[in-house]
Amino acid sequence: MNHVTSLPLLLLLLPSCVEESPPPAASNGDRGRPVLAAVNYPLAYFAERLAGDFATIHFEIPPNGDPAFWNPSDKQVTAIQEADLILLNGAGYAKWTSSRTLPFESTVVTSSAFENKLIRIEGDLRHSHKPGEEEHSHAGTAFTTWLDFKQASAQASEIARALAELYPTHRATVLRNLADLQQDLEQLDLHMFAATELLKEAPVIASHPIYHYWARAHGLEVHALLWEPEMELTQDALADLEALQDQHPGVKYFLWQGEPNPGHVAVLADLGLTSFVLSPCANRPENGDFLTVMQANIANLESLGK
Amino acid sequence: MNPAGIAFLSWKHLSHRPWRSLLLVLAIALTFSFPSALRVFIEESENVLRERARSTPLLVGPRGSSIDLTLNSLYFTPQELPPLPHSAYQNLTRGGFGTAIPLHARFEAQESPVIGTSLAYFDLRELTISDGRMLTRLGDCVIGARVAAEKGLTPGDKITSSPENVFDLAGVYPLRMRIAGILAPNHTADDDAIFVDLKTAWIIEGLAHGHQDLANPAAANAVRSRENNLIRANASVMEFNEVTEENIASFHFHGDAGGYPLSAAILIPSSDKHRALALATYQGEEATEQIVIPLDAVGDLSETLFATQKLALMAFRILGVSALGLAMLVFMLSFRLRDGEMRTYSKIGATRLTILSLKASEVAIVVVSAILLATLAVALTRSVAADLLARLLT
Amino acid sequence: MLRVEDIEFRYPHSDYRLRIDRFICESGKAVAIVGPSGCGKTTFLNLTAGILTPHSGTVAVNDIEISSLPPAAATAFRLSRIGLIFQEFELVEHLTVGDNILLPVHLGLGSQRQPIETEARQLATRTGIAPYWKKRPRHLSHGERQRVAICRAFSTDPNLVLADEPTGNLDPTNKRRILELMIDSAREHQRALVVATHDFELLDAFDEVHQFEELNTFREASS
Repeated sequence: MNHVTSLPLLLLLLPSCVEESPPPAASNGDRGRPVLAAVNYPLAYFAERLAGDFATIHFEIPPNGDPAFWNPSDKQVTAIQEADLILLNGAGYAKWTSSRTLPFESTVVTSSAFENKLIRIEGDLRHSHKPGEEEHSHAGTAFTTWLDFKQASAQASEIARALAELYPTHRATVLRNLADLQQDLEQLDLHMFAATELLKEAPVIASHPIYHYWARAHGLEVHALLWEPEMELTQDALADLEALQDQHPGVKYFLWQGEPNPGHVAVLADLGLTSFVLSPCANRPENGDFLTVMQANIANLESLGK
Repeated sequence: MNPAGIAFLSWKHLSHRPWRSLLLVLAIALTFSFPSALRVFIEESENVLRERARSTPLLVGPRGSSIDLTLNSLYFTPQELPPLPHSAYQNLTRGGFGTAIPLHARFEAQESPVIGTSLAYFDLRELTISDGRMLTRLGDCVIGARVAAEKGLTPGDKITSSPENVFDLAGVYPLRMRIAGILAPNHTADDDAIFVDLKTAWIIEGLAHGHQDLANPAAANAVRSRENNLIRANASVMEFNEVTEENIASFHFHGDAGGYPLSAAILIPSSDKHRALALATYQGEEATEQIVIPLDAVGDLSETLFATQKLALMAFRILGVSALGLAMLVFMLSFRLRDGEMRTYSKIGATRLTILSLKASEVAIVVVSAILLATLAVALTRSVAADLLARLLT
Repeated sequence: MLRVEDIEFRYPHSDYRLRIDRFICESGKAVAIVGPSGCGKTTFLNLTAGILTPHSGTVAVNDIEISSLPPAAATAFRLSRIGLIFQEFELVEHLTVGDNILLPVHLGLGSQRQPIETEARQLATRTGIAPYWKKRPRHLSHGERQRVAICRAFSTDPNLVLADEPTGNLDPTNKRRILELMIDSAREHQRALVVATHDFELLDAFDEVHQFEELNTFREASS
């Protein structure tokens, strides 16, 4: 199982270095085939499920990059501008979309159906994911909306609505595919709900503040640090953890966003914390797809109880 | 009689007094051409105005003069209109009437209007990029063909927005914009404009800015107070006057976006039914905005133009008669002064018909030249009318 | 040949009257008419040229009675058959020397341009004014302008050449030269040459010399 690790931000200073070769134009080549551009992998996956038969999905964020903090080059923006539909997550996801010029009429804010239920995040936890990288903040609105599978289903539904309106000849296909996808998401939701039962006993500490919707969906209490799976556990880092443990006694589980360093697992175990991984799958996994990654997440949870 | 000889002698005399001959030709040409050129200009202007208006189905804007709103939206003429709140534009898009295109036409850069809008504007006006590329980010602009030509600008150059008032230190902040591309000419007001993303226009307006990261120790001097996670800046905080790859992430907006100002919104109804719905929605007494059919507004303007044309032509007819009279007088005096020359011709053996032909030939050369020049002037007027109108209106 | 018989003429509102009983200038002959200024020599030449029409009598050139021709015909005849050299030359200042010489062509003899121009250029060469062909008369001296006038008169190969004081204001050497040129040309081409002059030192070059006061019988009769 592979999952997206919280890797360093793309270099804000040198976008041209990120762009190794000119990206394919979002609507080149097969002129008759619509192009759908997505700001993150879950939306790209939904689009593939809904319209993969007749549309091309444009998702060109480099592997191991974090789509939320991606800084596209001019050429990459131009490629996205040419897409027939641009799928936005909403909730302030992908800050670049507010500072780049996109054709408004082509954009779909997939979380519009539940925008009044978005979670505000207080505080200004500025950090960078690796030395030398530009710092960013998770303050504002929580944006990993898809980790609540009901919300994910609503996002898929919004994509389907836009597709059916734009391509009425494919409406039946889209709706059929939506039903299949929503069934899969419903199954995920049910299994996740069951798997998280054991986490309800006490608060959970998470390595990163990205589990708000997942926590809310399953009635969990999650408190976050700003740790990376492969970072060195410094005294300061451990002090932060201890502070959180003191604030929230009874914490038994530590939630990682990616596969942690085995040493960290041991350290946490010494502190009475059992580690498990729940990958947000914001970027395309090396192996598998969104469904398999979420299924793996559920399996990780289920293995805690054994 | 030798017609070729007559023409030759006439030409020789005219070219012997080139400035006098030229003045005569010009005066007569002007007399012939002005009424026609004016008519052509008005006609072409009306066509251009109508075409521009026809391609702009509906305009939604603040209540006030519909002609001012139309001219500001179609030709970017400076007008004293209240702003249209962004919330009104958002309502328009949510209304489902069709495609709504925002327009922000308040600012200038080196006397060229800076128009904040969306990418849909370029589709509406069939504007394409001839050099460089389209807008991709805040701080980008694409410039009209004439702006590029007159100012010698190319993609990659920078152009700074002009402050509205050099004495207003707390007002609009000049933004140094990156020229992303140059538009192909389309012989409308778009050739003279600078286009930016609507959000860039709001940066110029001062509603958004980028500055040093106050959490960064390097910005310590700019910090007035720090309380928990709340950092207050003092006046020395450096605001960026240019959007770059390094600082773009720092740009942020303040306040309620619904209150941000626009000048107007173009509405392209998706069907006749939606058009009717939009008109019904915004034409009611309770509507806080007005909806304008640009073609109707331009029709009103055309009537004014025609009335002005009539007056101008009437005045010119009087002048024209005087000019022609003066030209005739010049010819008569000239022939009187050349009595001796004509007597010589007569004595050598030129018949009375030859002498008469000589005089007539000279007049004819001048008049025909004037007519040709007038025809050229009218044709030229027709070819530049659109560009001239765009320049006059901006 | 020029033949003038019994012509009478008077100007309106003037006491001056002219009557010539008979005057003949044979082809190839040079005849001088002498008399003081104002005696009527110019009037006589204008009558013989058809510029003025006598009230009675006949003016014939090579047996064509030009005095009987309609005005247009008389004018056309003058253009092609009579060469005139005016007292003040009467060159057109805004035309070049060449165009002045070719004036008869421009005014009606377009169909004969080639032979006239050939003759004109030869004359210009012989009279020494060929280098000034493209110049305007204001660039020429008095004598050079005179030669232009002579070339203009002779270029059309006229039957009759009437010259009014053609050597006025020229230096003695040039006077003689110009006159000999005219007379030689008249003789060579069998033209009748009538010259009104008060230059007595040149009279020996002519075949005949007439005192105009003796020719004008009206004057004789009234005196």
